[in-house]
Amino acid sequence: MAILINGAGGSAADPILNGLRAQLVFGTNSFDITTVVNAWVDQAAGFPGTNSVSASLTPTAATIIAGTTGSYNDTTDQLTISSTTGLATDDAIYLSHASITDGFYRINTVVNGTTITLKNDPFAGGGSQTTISYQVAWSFIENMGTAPIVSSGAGTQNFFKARVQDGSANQTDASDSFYVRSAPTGSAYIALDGLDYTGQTFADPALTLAILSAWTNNGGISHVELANHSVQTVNNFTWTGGGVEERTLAAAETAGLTASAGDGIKYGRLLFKTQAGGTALGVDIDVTVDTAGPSVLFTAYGA
Amino acid sequence: MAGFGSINYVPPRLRKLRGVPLSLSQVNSILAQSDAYMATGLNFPEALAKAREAFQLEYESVSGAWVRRAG
Repeated sequence: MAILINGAGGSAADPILNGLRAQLVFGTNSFDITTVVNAWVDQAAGFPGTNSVSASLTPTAATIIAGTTGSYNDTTDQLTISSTTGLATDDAIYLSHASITDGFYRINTVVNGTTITLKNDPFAGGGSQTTISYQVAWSFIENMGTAPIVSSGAGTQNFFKARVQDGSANQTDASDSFYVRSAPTGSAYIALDGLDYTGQTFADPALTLAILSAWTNNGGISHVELANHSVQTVNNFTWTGGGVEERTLAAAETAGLTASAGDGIKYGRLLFKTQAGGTALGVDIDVTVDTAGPSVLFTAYGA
Repeated sequence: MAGFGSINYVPPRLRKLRGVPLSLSQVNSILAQSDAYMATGLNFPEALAKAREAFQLEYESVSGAWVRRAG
């Protein structure tokens, strides 16, 4: 088992890129957690943990919301549970019902004191439902490499740990891990026409784009957007074909970049995200476009 | 509460108690008891734990099933 972000995180060779933002979740499919004793992120296995993140969980560790009588209204696309006190958009909830694939889902909106809507709603279009079992899960949301999460050039294994109890004081210690790794340098990180993403000269303003191509799941990046260079405050690039809008990683790499018309130094910034519209990790890029070949002169002498 | 209509609708982790399978009626009985405890102010997991304890006062595990205690 491993905690994966868009498929990345399972090994040092397939790590999550340092600086990307992720939501780490733990919850239950037994619907009987009465107490979240603690949660930690460490760089070694074992209990109790060292670096507690319990105070940073969302919802709070004290939020216990569970039941087996949840109901779904397929007209309003709303799920009714016992209470939504303390819940917010993107909080996770474990759901079980015969009409869906049991698992974690995230809150889209908190409608009122007992009703929520869901992202990637598994119930939508399947009719109204009752006897839905649920327990709200707990999330630790942080940038990869920000303490207590550790990154390194070779990749660091981080352990997300939880200690929970049921109503009979039975305690469970559970842990799962993920690898975080610092960006490699040069074209191994971002390749423009196969070369380093800064300081190169190209005769053609249309450039291919490859991001973390040696990492199996591209560091967990799902979406890419173009923006202004953080220092030059301009963006001289578009996706080839036009636009600077957020695209999936695959679409961005397929399109490539085109520098603006005219020779000279071109500046821009790539924004890497782990979900559509998510928090971005920005990387400045620059190239020199030199389309002018050498000038040729003719003269003649008597011979 | 109406309860589950089929054991197949019961979440897998709620179909057993101490590793021993429950019947559908036993599951629904435990959940109905948990409802009663929730009415006293307990949240569901707390109420479920009490309901399971109460169930075990009436039932015992025999040959892989829960049967009502004699006497």
